[in-house]
Amino acid sequence: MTESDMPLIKQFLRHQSEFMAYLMAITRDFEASEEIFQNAAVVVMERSIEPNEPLRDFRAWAKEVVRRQAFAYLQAAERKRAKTVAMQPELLDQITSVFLDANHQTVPFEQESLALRMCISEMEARQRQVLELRYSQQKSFAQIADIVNKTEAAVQRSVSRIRKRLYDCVQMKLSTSG
Amino acid sequence: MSIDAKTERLILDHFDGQLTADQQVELAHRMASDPAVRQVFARYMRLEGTTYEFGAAGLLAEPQLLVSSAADDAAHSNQVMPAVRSSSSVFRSKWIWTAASLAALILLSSLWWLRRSWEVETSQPILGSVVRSIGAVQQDQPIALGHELTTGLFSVDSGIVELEMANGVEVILEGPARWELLSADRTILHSGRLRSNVPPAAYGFTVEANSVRVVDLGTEFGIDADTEGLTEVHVFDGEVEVEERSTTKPVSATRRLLSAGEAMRMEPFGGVQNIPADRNAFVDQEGMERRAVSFVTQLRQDTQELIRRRQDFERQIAERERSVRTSKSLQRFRRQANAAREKLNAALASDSAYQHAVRQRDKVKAEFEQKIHAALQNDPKTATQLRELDELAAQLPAFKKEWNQLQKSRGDVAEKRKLQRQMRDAQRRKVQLAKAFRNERNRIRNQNPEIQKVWKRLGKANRHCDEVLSHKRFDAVRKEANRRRLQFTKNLKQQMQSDKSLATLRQQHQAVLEKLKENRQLVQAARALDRMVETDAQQTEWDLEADKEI
Repeated sequence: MTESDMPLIKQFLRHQSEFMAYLMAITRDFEASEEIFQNAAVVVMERSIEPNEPLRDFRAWAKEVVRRQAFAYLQAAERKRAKTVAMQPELLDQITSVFLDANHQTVPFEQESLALRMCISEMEARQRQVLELRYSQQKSFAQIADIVNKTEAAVQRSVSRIRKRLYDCVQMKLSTSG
Repeated sequence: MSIDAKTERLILDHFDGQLTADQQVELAHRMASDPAVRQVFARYMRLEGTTYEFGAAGLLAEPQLLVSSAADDAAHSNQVMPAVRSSSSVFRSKWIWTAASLAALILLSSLWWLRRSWEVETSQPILGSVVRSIGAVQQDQPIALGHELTTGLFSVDSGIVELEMANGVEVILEGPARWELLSADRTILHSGRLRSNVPPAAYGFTVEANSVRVVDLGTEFGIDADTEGLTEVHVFDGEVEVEERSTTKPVSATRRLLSAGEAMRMEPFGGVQNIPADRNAFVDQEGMERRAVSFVTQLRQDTQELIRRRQDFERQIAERERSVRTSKSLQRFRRQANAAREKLNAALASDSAYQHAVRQRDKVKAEFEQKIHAALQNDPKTATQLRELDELAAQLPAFKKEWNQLQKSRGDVAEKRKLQRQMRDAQRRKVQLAKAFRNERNRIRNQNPEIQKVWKRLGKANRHCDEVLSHKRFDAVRKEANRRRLQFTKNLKQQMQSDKSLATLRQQHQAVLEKLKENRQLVQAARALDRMVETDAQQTEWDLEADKEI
C-alpha cells in the first residue's frame, strides 16, 4: 500500500510529529497543540468521507489545513487573553513559512528521529527525568520544579540546556553518519 | 551551518514561551534576514515535534522510572498502537463505517490513556473507556463519554454503551448488564447482552457467563446471559471455544468450538441446544448508529421543550423580581433614597462653580468630537473603514433574517452551513475592522497635534469637574445620598432573598439548566463519532445555545 492509497487520516497521522512540531512552535503549549491537531484531524476526516477531486500533494494540503486551524485557534485564544505573551505576527509568519516550505528538510525524518533516540538513550538519568516530566507527562515548569526540588527558572534553564544538547548530539550523529 | 549564541538563545527560549513581544519580533527579523537562522529554527522545531512524539509513546522514561509492570504494559501496548494497525483489517470488510475515524479515535484515545495511566494510580491500570453512550445510566447517573473502566464490576442499568478496551477489543454492552473485569482479557458477564469484536492482537479474550466460559479465537461474537441462568453464545465471524462447566458434576467440563454462523443455547441445568446465530439479536455498529440517531432526535425535541421552559422561567423570574422591587415595603426606602439623591442634584445644580466646570467640559468635549470626526472623515483609511463598518452592520440583520427563514423552512443542511460560515466571517470581519478602526482612531488622536491639544484639555476639564465635585461643601449631602441608596439596595436584596416564590422559581430554573446541560452531554456521548466527523455546524448551534445560557 503506497502512501497515496492510504486513508487520508492515516496519512495525516504519519505526519503527526511534523505538524505537532509546528503547532508547539507557535502555541508553546502542549494542550493547545493537541487541540488544534485534533481539529485538523476532523477536517481531514470530513474530506475523506466526502472525497472531492483527488489530492495532488497530500502533505502540502494537510499543512494548509493545520495552518488554518492553528490561525483560527490563535485568533480565538487572543480574544480570551492567554497567560503567555501573545504570538507576534512577524514571528508567526516566519515560523509558518518555515513550516510550509518543504525545502528545509535535508535529512530524512526517520534518520533524524533515530539519531534523537540514540541521543536520548545516552542522556543522564536526571536530565532524562526532566525530559520525561516535560514531554511525556506534560508538566509545567512549576510542577517540575516541585518534583525535582529546584526553582522554576532553574527547570526552564535545564530544559533549554537539554534541548540544546540534544540538538548538538543529533547534528553530530547525522554529520558523522553521512 | 552555525548561528551566533544570542540567536540560538532566542530560539531556545521561544520554545519555552519565555520571549517577550520585543524579543519575538527580534527573532522574526533574524529569521527573515538569515537563511541559516531559519534552518536552525526548522531543526529545533522538528526536534520539538519528535521529542513530543517520543514522550507520547512513553519512550522517554528510564526503565526504572516505570512504577509498576502494569503501567509498563499499558504504556508499551499503546506505544505500538496495535489497535490502529489491526483496525484496518478488522474493520475494512464489515464495520465499514469510517474506519478512518475509528483509527483516529483510537489513536487519540490511546495517547490519552497513556497520559491518564500516569496520572491515575498506576496500580489500577485503565482497561478501557466508553467511546459512545446511548442513554446509558449507572445508578441513576448518565454514563459519560470517556468514562474509564478499571478492574471490577461495570454495570449498565439501562441504555447501551460502546467500549474501547486498551488491548483493542471493542465491546457493545446492552443494559441492564453487569460485566466484571478481572483483567484486560478475563471478564465475567453476570447478566446482560454483550457483543465483542476482538482484533488478532487480543486473541484469547475470555468472557465467562453463568456456567460457560467463552474464549475468543480472533472473532466477533455475542453473549446473552439472563438472570435466570440461560446463556446464549452467537458467533458471527471466526471461531470461539466454549467450555461448559456442568453444575451437577463440578469436575467435568466439555469444550467445543463454535464457528461463524453457529450459536448455542445453554439452559441453567445442563440442557444444550444448537441454534443458528442471530446477528439481529445483538446491536452492532450500524445498529448503534441508528439508535444514536433516534436517541439524539428525541433528545433534541426534549431540549427544545426545555429551552422553552427555561425562557418561561426566566420571564417569570423577571416579572417576580419586578414586583418585589416595586412592593410597598420597599417604597419608603425608595422615596428616601430618591429624595436624598434629589438633594444632592439640587446642591450641584445651584452651585455655580460646578455648573461652570461642567459647561466648560461639555464645550471641550463637543469640540473634540467635532475635530476627530472631521479628521476621521478626511483620512482615506478611516473613511473607508467607517464605510465598510456601516455596510457590514447593514448586512448582519439580513443574514439573520435569512437564517431564521432557513430555520423555519427546515432548509438544507449544506445551505445552512454555508450561511453560517458567511455570518461567522462577516462577524469576524466586523470585529477585526472595529479593532483596526479603534487603533487608527487612537493613532490620529495621538499624532494630530491639534486634536491632541483638545484631547489634553478635555482630560483637564474632566479632572476639574471631579475636583469641584469632591469639595467638602458637598460632603454632607453626598454622604446622605449614599447612605440612603445603600439602605435601599440592602433592603431590596433582603426582599429578593426572602421571597419564597422567587426562590422556587430560581430552583426550577436551575433544574432546567442542569437538565439542559445533561442533555447536551448525552447528545455528545451518543454521537461521539459523528461529533468528530460532522462539521462544526451542529456544534455551533449547540454552542450558540450554550452562550445564551451563560
